[in-house]
Amino acid sequence: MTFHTGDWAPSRRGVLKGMGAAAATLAAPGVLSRAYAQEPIVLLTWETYHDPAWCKEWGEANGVEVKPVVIGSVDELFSQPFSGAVQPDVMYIETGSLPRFKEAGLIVPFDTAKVPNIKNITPNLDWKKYTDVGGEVVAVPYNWGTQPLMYNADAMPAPDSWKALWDPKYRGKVNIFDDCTICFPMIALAVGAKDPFNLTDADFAACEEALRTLRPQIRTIARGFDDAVTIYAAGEALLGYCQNIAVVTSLQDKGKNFAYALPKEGTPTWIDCTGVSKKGDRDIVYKFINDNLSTKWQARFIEASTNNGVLDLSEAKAGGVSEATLKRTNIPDSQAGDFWEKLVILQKPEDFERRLQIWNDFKAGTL
Amino acid sequence: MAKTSQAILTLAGIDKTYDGAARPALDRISFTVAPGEFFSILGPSGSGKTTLLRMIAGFERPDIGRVLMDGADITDVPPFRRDVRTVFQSYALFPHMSVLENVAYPLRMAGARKAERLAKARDCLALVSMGDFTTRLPHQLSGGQRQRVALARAIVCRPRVLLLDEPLGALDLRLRQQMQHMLVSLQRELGIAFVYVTHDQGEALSMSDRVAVMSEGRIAQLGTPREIYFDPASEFVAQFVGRSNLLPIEAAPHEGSLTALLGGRALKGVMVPRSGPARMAIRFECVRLADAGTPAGHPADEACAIEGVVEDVLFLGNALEVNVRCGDHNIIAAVPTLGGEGYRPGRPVRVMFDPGQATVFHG
Amino acid sequence: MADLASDMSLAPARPVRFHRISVLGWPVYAWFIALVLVPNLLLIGTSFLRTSNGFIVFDPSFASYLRLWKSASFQFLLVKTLATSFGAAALGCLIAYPMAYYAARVVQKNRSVLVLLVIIPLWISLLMRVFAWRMILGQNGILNSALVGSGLLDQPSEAFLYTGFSVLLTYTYISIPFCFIAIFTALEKIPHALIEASQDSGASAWQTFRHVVWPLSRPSVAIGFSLAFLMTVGDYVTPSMVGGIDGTMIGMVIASQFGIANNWPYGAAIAVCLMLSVGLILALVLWAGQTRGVLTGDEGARPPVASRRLTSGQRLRRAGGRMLFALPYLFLYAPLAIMVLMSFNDSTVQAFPLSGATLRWYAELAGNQPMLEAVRRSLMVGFLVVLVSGVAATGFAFALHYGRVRRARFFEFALAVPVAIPGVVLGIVMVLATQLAQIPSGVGRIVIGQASFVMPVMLMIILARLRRLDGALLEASMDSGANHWQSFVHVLFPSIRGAIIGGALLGFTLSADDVMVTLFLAGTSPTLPIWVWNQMRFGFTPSVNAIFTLVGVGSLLAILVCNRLIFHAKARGREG
Repeated sequence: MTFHTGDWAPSRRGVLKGMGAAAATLAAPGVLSRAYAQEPIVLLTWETYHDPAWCKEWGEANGVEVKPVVIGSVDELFSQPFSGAVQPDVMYIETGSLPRFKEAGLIVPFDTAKVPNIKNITPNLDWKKYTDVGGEVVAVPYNWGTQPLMYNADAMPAPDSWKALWDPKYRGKVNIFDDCTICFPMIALAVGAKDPFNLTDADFAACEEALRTLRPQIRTIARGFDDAVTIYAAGEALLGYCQNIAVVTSLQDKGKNFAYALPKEGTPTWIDCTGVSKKGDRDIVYKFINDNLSTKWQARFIEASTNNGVLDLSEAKAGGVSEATLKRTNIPDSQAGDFWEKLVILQKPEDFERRLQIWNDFKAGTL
Repeated sequence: MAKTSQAILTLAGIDKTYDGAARPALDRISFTVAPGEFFSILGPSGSGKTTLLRMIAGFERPDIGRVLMDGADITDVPPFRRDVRTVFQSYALFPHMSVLENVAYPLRMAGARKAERLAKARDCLALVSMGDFTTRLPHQLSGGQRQRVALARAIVCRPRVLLLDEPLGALDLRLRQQMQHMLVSLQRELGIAFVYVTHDQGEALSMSDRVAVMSEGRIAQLGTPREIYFDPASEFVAQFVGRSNLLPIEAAPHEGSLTALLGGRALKGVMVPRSGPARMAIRFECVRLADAGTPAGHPADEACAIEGVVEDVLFLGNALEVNVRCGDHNIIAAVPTLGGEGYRPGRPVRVMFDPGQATVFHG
Repeated sequence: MADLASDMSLAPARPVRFHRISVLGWPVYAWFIALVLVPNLLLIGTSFLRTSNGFIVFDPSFASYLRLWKSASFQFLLVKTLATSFGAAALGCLIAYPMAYYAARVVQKNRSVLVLLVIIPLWISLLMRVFAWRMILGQNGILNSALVGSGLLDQPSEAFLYTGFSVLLTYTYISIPFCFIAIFTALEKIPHALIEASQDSGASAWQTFRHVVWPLSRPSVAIGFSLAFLMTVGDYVTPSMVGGIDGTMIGMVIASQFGIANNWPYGAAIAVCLMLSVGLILALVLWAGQTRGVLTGDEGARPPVASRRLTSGQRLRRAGGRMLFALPYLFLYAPLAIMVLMSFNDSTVQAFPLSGATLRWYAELAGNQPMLEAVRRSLMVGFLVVLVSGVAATGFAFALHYGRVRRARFFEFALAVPVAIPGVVLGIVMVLATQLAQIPSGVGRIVIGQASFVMPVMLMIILARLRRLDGALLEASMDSGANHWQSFVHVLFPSIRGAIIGGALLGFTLSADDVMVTLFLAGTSPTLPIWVWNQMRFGFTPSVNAIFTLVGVGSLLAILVCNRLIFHAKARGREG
């Protein structure tokens, strides 16, 4: 490049000195940042789960730094620690993936005795069944949620079946998100598979066919929570598989009339569980996890994010969650006895690689 | 002329072959340069003269052989520790430094204080009449001015040996002549030994004390300009230095003695060492012309004479080059313009030369 | 006269050549081994392993390649990815060529500003620009609004966004600056005498272009094309954002194999195939672009000084030329304009219509600690990357140019291999290597990872400058008594400073905007683009628009100030 070869006469030294000073200023905060005696607690967590301010507050009270690293998919949650890019102490893993994390050695058995606040977890949540891997508890819940069918209430009546996604009326107006782990069970439910986590060859064939016919319905795949909000808000989609009901509430906040429905075939439901790595198997980490399950922390979490948390309705109210917020969560509904029957909690699939291959082929358009 | 004890620069048995080259760039080169001598290396491009110069400067190392300065072996001494300076063909002025900074650069490298080196640089610039251009940048100078700055930079430290790599190559004729005079007087004044590389025989002959003529990596002849000019050691030198007719002759016994025959005609007085085919060189200016009819009278009865017809004439200003067809051969004669008006194509003439001025080479 | 010297005893032959191997060469070998050879061997090695139950088995096998051979979707995606990038790079060259020609050979004043204006958009995160394209092309986007408003369309078209068209458009958008820089440098170097010689030989303007300008610039077009091709071929973020469901590219499949599928051998095999195909295409392009001969001489273009009066027709044509020249700039700056607009929009949703003006996003900036931290880290990473790469590239350029490295030609290409590796693959490869070397994730890793592809770019620029430098300058300096180091400080460095600064600028740009490689290396310390990438997926705040608006305005100002300073310096130099 030749555009800088001009004579640079005016006080070049001055400019260089300025640059040096700027560099020093840049580097200074890194050097001066507070050093705690203990190794920091690194979290691989989801957006809205751990506000940096809360982490800082807890860290200062307990004399340790807490570093939340936000990930966007189960995919990243697995690859970041597995490749060594991030070495977390704590990971927030949905139930279906727990066996994989255990097998890969990313999490170690969880010492429930060190977390007395487990008692705060709502009895409605049948979590022990799903966090038991090979006879050992490997994680405790932090949050749960459903992945319902969301729709623009101005454009259609409430749909009662996943089949709405295949309705030719909405061709080009359907949105899903790029997460094979969570999308595939929905497809399996939609085609009526008996057990969405143990598909037979016939089920697989049906799923492939369903994906093939679903493709022309879809214009775009959301890359994440906010991306989804943008897509729906811009009118690029009218209905879709909902990654997180926060998408719906956030659209409602913006004055868009979106709602969600729990289809009759069943709604995939996740429980994000706290697992600790070998490095994270320390008392201070357990203390953090225990405090995360305190009513106060959970109530603040629910209030700020409109997530479900793990509290029972009464506990949540006692913790100070407002009525308005509660209405936006599944907590009140979950009191009803038949509510849980409509939900399908994610489990380890029979052959993940096969599912992923189909999913990739679906995205590539070569299915 | 120069004795070994006096020699400032000595090259001894230098061989150099570049990687991948079929023939050597330098082949057994040896010579000495005396202090204060103006030594020229003359040769066509590709003859290895620049390689030789770079060898002296220290940019190339010989495969075999030694470079000595003042008797000390400097073959392995890097260029920046040699008391040798170079004026580069491209001048190689540092584009980002002013004229003054360029000239002061060697002093700065020698660790001279600022005031001292600037003063010296100014003096030196005055010496090459560039005193008024100290603040200019090289790109703001003309070719001749750049040349003088390059020269000033090279002599500012008063080196023992100054190397000049075709320094006048890019200048026009008038400037070149001016610079020649300047170089000679500068050399006298400073007493620095100059090693001057050029392909222009005029420059080499006019300025040098001695000239080494190079051909294909070897020294074809080494001698004073006079020796080179009038007594070329080889056909190549005869061809390259000055302008010569080169005529194929046959040396055979004729009338009892070994005589040179040109197209069957005997050339009396031309010395031939042995019989067989050979070539005879005779300089243009040694060839005289006379009217075809006139008898070969007056003192030139010893001279060789050949009849011919003028084929064409070149006007060179102070002289004419007349190309005469003599049987199967062409002979060119340089005659003064004044008095040569009569030579026009088609005119029959007699070509004459003094056999003493002809040189014969056996193939 | 007999030369007495010839009587002297001859020195013995020296079998070892002068400085053939030098200490200066070692860093080059070390860099090559650490950042090119080992990481790539790891990748290739991995591709010949196989997995069982989701875990790598150390058992040599062709299983992954066999699977690729049978996979229709892999082949389809590979061809699609290559074709899209190829098309975009070609379009980019087509657009950039006239621009570069105009800037290099027609414009006479402020040429460097025109060049920098093309580069500035690169300083704004690619993600932001791509995001802005969504707002231009979308259902309620500017393009549709304009077309519907003007009556050209009855209702908003869906053809613009989430189609192959939008991917091609954004890829072209990414390609233009890279093509432009390469072509501009070539055109600027062509001596004007050659053009005059051609006109003198009776060639028309078109013939001159066809037979002189084009052949001389062709190699650089090939280089610009290759750069642009490389920038897009490994990028899966862009197509996933604007391409909709059809935006799936091979990079995404690779990423998923290293991520959720956890099939590293298969992912590595795809990566190796992608690298090989990319290498093949680049080799073909560069082969097709080569021109015999070398342009000698350092003289740049000296366009004729047009002081004569122009006829009205000529003036019209000139104005037309200027307008055409301005069009690509509009194209380059349209997304930035959107970004600026959005930074003042009083809504958290990035979509039209606008809801009202506000300055609160700027006010929020000051309080957004993680973002400021990311900005600081980005600057620091950029600074360190440029420093490390600049020092290494300068040293390597000298070592290579002055023959201190064996097989210099080979190493020149070998060091550039990371540039030719698609970002997603390079990221993974660098993780493998840094993991092996026990370097913790964070700034250290990011710097190493980014330096692996920034250094070769700077090296190329510096080498090109060194090669155009009069070789006699170094000799003149050594001849003047300066040793190697002094010659470097006083002569060589000042001569190539322009190239180093230019390279540093480009290096900083590459570093500041990198997502693909950094994503894998950042760990708990995101740089600004990574932070933005995370924000885009969850919790986007228009403060991001605000910060990039500030970055853009800041760089514009800096350039204008620099230009003024340089201009003044030049004016002063002329008076002197």
